[in-house]
Amino acid sequence: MNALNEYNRIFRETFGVSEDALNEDFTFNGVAVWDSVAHMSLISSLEDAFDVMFDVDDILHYGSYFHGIEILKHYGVEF
Amino acid sequence: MKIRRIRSDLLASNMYLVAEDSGVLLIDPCRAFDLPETVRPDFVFLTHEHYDHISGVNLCRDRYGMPVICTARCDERMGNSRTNMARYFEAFCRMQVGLDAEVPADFEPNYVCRADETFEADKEISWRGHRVRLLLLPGHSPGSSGLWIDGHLFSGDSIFARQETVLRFPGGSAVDWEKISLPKLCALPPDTIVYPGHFDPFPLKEWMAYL
Repeated sequence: MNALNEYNRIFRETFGVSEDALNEDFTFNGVAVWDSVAHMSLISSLEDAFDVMFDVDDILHYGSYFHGIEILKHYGVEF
Repeated sequence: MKIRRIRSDLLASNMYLVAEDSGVLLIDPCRAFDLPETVRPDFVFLTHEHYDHISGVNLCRDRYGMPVICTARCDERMGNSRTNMARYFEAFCRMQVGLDAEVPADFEPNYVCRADETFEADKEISWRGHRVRLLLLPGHSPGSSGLWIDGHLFSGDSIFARQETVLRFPGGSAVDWEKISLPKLCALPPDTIVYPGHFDPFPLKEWMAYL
C-alpha cells in the first residue's frame, strides 16, 4: 500500500473533493465541509486504513491535511 | 400507555420509558436511572449503535435482567468501541462543545455491549396488547431502526424536526437513507408523534413538511 495514495483517497472520499484541493489550505478551520462529524469519519477511516489508534489529543489536533501526515508518522506510518 | 423521557449527560441524548400496566420497555437506556420496584422491566429497544444511546445497556441487563433488542447491524457494531463511537466520544464532545468541555467522569471509551435478540427485516411484535412495529431505518448509521407503537415513533437520530438527518458518521449512508428509510417514514401516519434521540418530541407531519 502506498501510504500517500491511501491518505489522499481517504481525504477525497471523506470530503468529496479532488486531489487538487489537498494542499496547505486544506484545514479544519478553512474547509466548510470539515466539521466535527466529518472529522470523526476521517479519523475512523484513517485508523482503519493504517491500523493505528489515535490518542484523544491527536484526534483533537488533527487540524490539517499536512499536519495529519506528521501525526501519522508518529504512529509509525511511513510516507 | 405512558411515556417518560430522561435526558442523559451524554450529548443530552434521550432515553424513554414506555409503561403499560405494570410493564415497562426502555428505549436507548443511559447510565443513570432507576426503575421503581413495582414495575416489570420487559425489554430494551435500541434505535442505533452510537455510544450516547447504548451507554446503559449493560446496566439494564445486569440490574434488571432485561433482554435487549436491536437490528443485527446495530448489535454487530455496538460490540466494538470504534464502530459504536465510544472511542471517539470524548473528542467529538470537545469539538462540539469546546476543547475545555467536561466529559462525564464515568464515561467509558472502551465501552461495548451486545444484544439478546436481533432482527434483519422489519417486524411486528406484541407487547402488553399493543402492536409494535420495528422498522429498519439505515442511513444515520448502518444499524439504525425505529419503534412505532400506537401512533408514537421512537426514531433515534434518524429524524429531527426542522433538521436534516446526519448521514456522514462512519458507516452512514445517504443511499440507504433515500432508498430504504425515507419512503418507509413517509408512509407512516402523518399524525404520528416522533420521540427523537435528542431534543423534543414533534409531529411527524412537521418533519414531512420540512422535507
